[in-house]
Amino acid sequence: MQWVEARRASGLRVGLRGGVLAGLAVLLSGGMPALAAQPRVPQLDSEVVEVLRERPLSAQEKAWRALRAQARARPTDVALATQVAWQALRWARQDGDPRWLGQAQAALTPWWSQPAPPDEVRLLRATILQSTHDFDAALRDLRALVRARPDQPQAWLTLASVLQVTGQYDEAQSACNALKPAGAPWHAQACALELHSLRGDAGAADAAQRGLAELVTRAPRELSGYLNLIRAELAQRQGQPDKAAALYQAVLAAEDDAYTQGAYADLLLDQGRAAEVVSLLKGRERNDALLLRLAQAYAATGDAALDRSVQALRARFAAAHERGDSVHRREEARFTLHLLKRPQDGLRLAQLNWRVQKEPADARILLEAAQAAGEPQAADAVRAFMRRWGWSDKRLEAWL
Amino acid sequence: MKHLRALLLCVLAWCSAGTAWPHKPSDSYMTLTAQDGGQVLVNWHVALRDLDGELSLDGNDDGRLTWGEVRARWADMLGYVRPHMRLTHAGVACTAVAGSDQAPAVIAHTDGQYAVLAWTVQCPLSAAQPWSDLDVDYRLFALSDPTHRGIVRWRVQGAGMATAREVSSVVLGVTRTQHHVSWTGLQGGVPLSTQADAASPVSNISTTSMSTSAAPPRTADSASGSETHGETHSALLLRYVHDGVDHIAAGMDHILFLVSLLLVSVWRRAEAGPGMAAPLGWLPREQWRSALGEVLRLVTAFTLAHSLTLALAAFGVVSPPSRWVESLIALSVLVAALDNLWPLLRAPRWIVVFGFGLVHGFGFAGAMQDLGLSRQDLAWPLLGFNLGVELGQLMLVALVLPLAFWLRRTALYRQAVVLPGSLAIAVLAALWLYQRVADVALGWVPG
Repeated sequence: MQWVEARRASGLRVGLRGGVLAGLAVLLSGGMPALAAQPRVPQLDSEVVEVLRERPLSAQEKAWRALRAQARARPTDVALATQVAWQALRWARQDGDPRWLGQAQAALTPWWSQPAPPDEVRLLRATILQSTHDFDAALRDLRALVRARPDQPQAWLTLASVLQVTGQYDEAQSACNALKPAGAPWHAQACALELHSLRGDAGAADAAQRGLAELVTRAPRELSGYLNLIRAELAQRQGQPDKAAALYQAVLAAEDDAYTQGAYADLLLDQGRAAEVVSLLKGRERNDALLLRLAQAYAATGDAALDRSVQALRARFAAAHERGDSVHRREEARFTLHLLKRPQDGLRLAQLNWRVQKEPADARILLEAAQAAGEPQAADAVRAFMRRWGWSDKRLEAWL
Repeated sequence: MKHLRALLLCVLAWCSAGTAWPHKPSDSYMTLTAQDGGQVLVNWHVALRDLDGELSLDGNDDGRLTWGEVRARWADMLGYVRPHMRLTHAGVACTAVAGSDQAPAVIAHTDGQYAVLAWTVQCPLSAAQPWSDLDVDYRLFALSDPTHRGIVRWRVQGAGMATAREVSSVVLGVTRTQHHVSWTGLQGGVPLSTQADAASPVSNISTTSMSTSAAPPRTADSASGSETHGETHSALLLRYVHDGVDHIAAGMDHILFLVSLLLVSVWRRAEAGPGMAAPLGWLPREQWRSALGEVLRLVTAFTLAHSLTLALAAFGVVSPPSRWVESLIALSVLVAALDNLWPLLRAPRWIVVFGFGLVHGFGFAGAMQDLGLSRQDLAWPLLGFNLGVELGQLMLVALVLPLAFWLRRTALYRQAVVLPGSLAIAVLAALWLYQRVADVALGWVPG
């Protein structure tokens, strides 16, 4: 009783005020009210209501629209349809906007549901399918294609890529090997070297890196970006962030694509250079993957813009779910783990993602989430996979 | 072959990019509100970006769409989208009411600005005739983008209903162009989405279309009407009740907060004064009713508080930063656990619990947002989610309270349950607090 009284006298008095005030503090200082979107009528005709693209409509895009109109008028013309689709696919990659994939698919509508459409349509279909993570359907088309037309390098290359992304390295190896006789020797080498770096130990990775460095000096200039991107990612796995950073910068100097920006941002985040991420990605918020990195950078720098970005990402994932999409699981797992701080949910997403994709980034998010959730054994599938192939990654060592 | 070569240069980097698409594909958002008298209000949000792809709205092709450019083409936009959505009532087409078009407006969605295209449709229904079967047929952008989807929400608003009530929602597109709802009763009777077309992902339209033309209009049947009413709502409600229970079950911080309170709810504070043995400053309650009363007070206070803030947050009135909320929730657990060990809280516990309940409500709101609800039709989900949270709490009470009451006088309960239990909770809560305030993740900390 004595000590109880003493505590009472001197103890911290949270009491009525403390409890209620804590609640009210949140209520009142609760930052800005989240604006529920409401219809609005702009006041001025000159107000820009939507930025469609950061550049004027190019002659190429105008020509493409005309071509699309022609193709619609002649729905049986395969050549016209594939021309429309290829261009849409190129823009899809450039802008990272899946609306272009829809346009490409639309051009192929007459053939889309056929079991064995013409070769070129089939190749396009496979490319579109793998873009929406329908890897099994894409592989079916690609395997049939390379059987029918082993001289088509594009089918082999796409096949090798999908197999690599899904972790089927043996078959990927044969696809790489087939590229050379199909007339794409540079791609054959790059493909083989990257696979080699994933299949061997640290020594194999070093050898692959040397091979790629040598390849980039001999290969045609227009392949530099793609080769340097492979080198940068490999350098990161080898634990050479500075070298990787230089390579990313070289790629970005030539082509400002979203994928490279995201990869470079990840490297900067790992190195604690969040402020640079903010300056790199500011203005690219329309891209969900880049907004995710930006939000992580805001979190690291304690920026007030964090809450707004998290809300935006939350809304975007919700919108994707609403239409029934689950393509962004890797990104969503990262968001859930690092920004929502829900390791269990993040782990669940990372596990689902690992069933579909098996790239280093997929391994990483699963290991991280499992660790954070206090269930390191939940990532045993990654450990087994990496042991099986000998694949090493300095960044992941802490979790292995 | 020329195209192949061109793409060959980039495709591998693209593929090894993991191929995740950083944007959402094209969607539209359509709300259909059925009213008495056979009218349906159509409110359709269509992305300006998509409309530009079909109609070239950007007059000067500079990539920037001004309000002037949009307004000038408003009639074209309406003319384009209108035929791509058809409503039929009992097999007979509903028609747009002349002059019912709403003035041009835009609205923001997550991936840009959308045109708000709204008008009224009259279905062939006389004033006293009941609603029967309604079909919506959706073909927007079917030709230009097969990945486009329309997210269609059905609502009803009978005379005398202040706000419309959401009754079902469906995602339509080329893989499924039609949705069938059947209606019974007047005065905003609730449409029941039939399961007939729910699971037919067939690209052939005719297989998904219902044989509505043969179906005679259903007669009003108040009994079946009210049954339908119950079913649809209970299904919707149940879903969110389930989510609410889930959240409590998965949210260790909420559970431990309640457990901390429950542990000592079978006790009462010892009066200050000599001569009484009151370890930890508590004495067992004599009466079962007194313990139950205490729990009732606590749970009521907690419920009222978190319902209030959950609603405020869900409707977007306030949205406190989640890090603060999560930190304060951790603090509340810490304080509740420490208070079991020595009295920190002077005020009656229920008042303190009310204060912390406000904070937990914001936490629930975060969880509810993650379920991906729109703000427009939150009433049912909110009610359901809240009920689920309550249900989860009551289950916990039912689990803990009888045991605690039974053991309340024993030294075992005091020394082996409350003391180490509260201590452990306090330690864990302190770790959470540290993690959340400092924004770091300690891998070995559970929760």
